[in-house]
Amino acid sequence: MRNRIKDLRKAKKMTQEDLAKQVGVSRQSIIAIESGKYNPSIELAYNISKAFDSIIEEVFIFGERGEE
Amino acid sequence: MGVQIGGLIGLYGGAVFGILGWWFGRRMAKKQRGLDELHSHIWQKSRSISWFCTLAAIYVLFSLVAFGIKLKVAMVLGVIMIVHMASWGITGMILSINMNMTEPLKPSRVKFGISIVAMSLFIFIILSITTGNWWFLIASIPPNTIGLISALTPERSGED
Repeated sequence: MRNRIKDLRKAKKMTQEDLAKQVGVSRQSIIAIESGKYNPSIELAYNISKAFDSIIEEVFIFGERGEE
Repeated sequence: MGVQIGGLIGLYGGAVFGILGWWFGRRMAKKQRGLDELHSHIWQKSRSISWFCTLAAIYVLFSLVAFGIKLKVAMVLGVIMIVHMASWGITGMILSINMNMTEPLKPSRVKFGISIVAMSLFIFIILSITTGNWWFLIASIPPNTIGLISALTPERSGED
């Protein structure tokens, strides 16, 4: 699953730590999700999308592989 | 059979220090929101992998008994415990480092590194058991280090 977290985060001038604090996970989790190494649970994906005022489909692109 | 004071101290002292380390580690991780779903995913996966390593160790030890080598209960339990704990810790560490790196680890290199560690542990544990000389385990440190370094070296960004 691919995602647009990095782009959205940069557009909002948000650091990985800021996003991690906002959604209540570690910075390591944000790094792993951003790089496509880890697919978040639906709850975390929802929280991340909410942090960007977006819906899940706008942040996560289903059916495509990450960077790997 | 007398009570082995050294064994008891090692067994219960190790457990106490292990539990304390685990508890303080979790406390520190909690402060940095480290006990999240990725943490659970990594440590569940490493625990599952460590059970496969333990299964392999049980098979090897059973084979040694089948070949007529006399093994002591403490020795067998010790080997199983070391294999289980070490494989749990090492795979957890590799998975954690991999998740934390911006450059991904190369799967073929990880497989190669893990194979070297598994093979050297296997060979030197067998040598230690058959010869009764536990110093052989020290000799397994260099190949294990090489294996771990090989597994944890990330793929170069230029490589595709």
